[in-house]
Amino acid sequence: MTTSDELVIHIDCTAGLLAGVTREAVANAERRHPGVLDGCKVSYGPLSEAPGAVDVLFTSSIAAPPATTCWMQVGDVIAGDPTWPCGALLTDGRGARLRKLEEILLLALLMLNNHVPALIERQRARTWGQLFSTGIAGKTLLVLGVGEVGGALARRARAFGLTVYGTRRSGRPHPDVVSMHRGAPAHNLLARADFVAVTLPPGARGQFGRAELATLAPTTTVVSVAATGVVEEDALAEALHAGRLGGAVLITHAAASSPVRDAPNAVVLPATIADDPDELPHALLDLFLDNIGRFRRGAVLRNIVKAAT
Amino acid sequence: MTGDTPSSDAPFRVLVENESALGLVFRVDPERFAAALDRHPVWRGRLHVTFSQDGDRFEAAIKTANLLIGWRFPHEHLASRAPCLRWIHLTGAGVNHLLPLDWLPAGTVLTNNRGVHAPKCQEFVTMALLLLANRIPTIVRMEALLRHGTRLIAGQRATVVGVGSMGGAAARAARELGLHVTGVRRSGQPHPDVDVMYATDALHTALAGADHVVICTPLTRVTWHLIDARAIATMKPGATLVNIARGGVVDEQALATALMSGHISCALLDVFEQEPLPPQSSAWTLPNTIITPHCSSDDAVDYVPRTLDLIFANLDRMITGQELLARVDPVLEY
Repeated sequence: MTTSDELVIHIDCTAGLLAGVTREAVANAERRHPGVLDGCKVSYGPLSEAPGAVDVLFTSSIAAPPATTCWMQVGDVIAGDPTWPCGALLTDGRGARLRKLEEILLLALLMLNNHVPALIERQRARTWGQLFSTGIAGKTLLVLGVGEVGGALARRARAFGLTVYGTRRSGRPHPDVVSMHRGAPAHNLLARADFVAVTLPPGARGQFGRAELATLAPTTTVVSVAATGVVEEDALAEALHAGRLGGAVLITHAAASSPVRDAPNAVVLPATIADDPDELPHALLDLFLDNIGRFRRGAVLRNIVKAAT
Repeated sequence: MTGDTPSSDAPFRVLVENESALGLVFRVDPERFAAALDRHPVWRGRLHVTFSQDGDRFEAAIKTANLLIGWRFPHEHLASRAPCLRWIHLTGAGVNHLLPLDWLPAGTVLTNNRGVHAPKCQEFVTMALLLLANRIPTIVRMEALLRHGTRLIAGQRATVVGVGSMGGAAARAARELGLHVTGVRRSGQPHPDVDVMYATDALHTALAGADHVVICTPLTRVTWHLIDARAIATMKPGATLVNIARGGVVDEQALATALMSGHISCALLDVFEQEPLPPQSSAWTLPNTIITPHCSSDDAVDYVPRTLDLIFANLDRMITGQELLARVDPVLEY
């Protein structure tokens, strides 16, 4: 930092998700976060044109920051463990897609309840094969990892008459979850769910795998929006091929390479489906300005991918 | 309905005609009938019910039947074959397979299953709107790589063509997702879940602003190819279309052209002019389209129980001299 009260911020809004972010949009965001940018020097343009002594950088995607940068905020969601060649703090854009994700997760439940993945296969095979279903109200949803996204899904699902069970590390109750369980889900919790939604954090690698899948009823369907590696996709594909699972909708950053793509009764959607081009830049600006406030107060930032070293 | 009210000494004679091809979801079998009687115990012992499967007992039982419950049945010269028939209940909503209704004996009331589909229809339309707004047909058919998603569905505009029972459920689905809802109905009468209602003559105006168009109108002489090339041309470029009504309401050739040009960005089609859709049909490969084979709104568990509850509600109305619910107007054809 150049002086104790002047923070040099550079926003690269020339490409990716931030393309088209105008100074006006930043000014509007500032009105939603009054005072946060007071005493800051903000510049705009490609990264190569950033001023010499940039403290904070905001870009769409991960890139090598100038040596002076102590914190970089990116708009993308960074899956897995990125190569990060410097000691700066790195935060990403998760959470900014919440409203859109909640819409897509609700859609996934309704698609599974209405046998849409299976009907898409019948369409490919030019087969007129009716699959009737009964209404989703009264069925049971188990949300694994009730955080921001899982909680939003629980609220939407409850509004559609589903009974929602949940797990989270703390076991803390949630108003839309009838019973919350601490940590890993018990056998009977998995066995009685009509729908299982995996909204576990990226750190929960392998926590929804062969053992959990083996516990599910053959009519149970699975929705996952978790980071790559949380769901054992090979095991999921195997269960679908074997008919041990009713169906799945997977929302993933690695859609093209997922083994579930070729499995029956499954739909794989790219995670970018949650990137609303109109709203996302504003949501990312909100996240960025909230983090600037935290940064200046010395509070813990949201969405830390790599801590400063 | 006049005369022939049931009494304990002369039971009301009911003929139930089931068609195997329709499948279990639609079967009004003795077990489901008995369960309905348990829900309406006042009718216990007052009904004489004959179950006919694929017409095996139809001809004998129709001679004395007061009420016929069925979907497809031989209706030529019905007046002379069924002199006691006072009421026919159709176990579906669209009656287009029986048109024109000139065979309906004078004095026989025709009712259909309107209302029975509503809850499942509402769920299906919720799914359909979300599915189309998020371009799922394009993604799953891998017809284009989408670099980003679409905007939130709340605040978008839906137009429901045909705001009856199913259309009302569709409007409610759209409204609950936060869409602005425009409706089109013959009467132009307002509906609580429709923001702006138009009469059918303003169809093109109603279509023009919609991001999503949901077709729910019955197929009649008047609505055949209602959604033709001209109607489609008035739709906003990139709008989507859901058809859960009858295939014949939409000019399938015009729809195919619009899907191929991208004027309609994607579609969810549940109904077709020819059903079952034959394997060689070009509809299977329409771009950006998902096909559900006429199974959108028929609840696998509740369909027959709800059908029978409607029939029993009408039996109650009949003996108290009230007009029956879900009457089909032979002139309007729905």
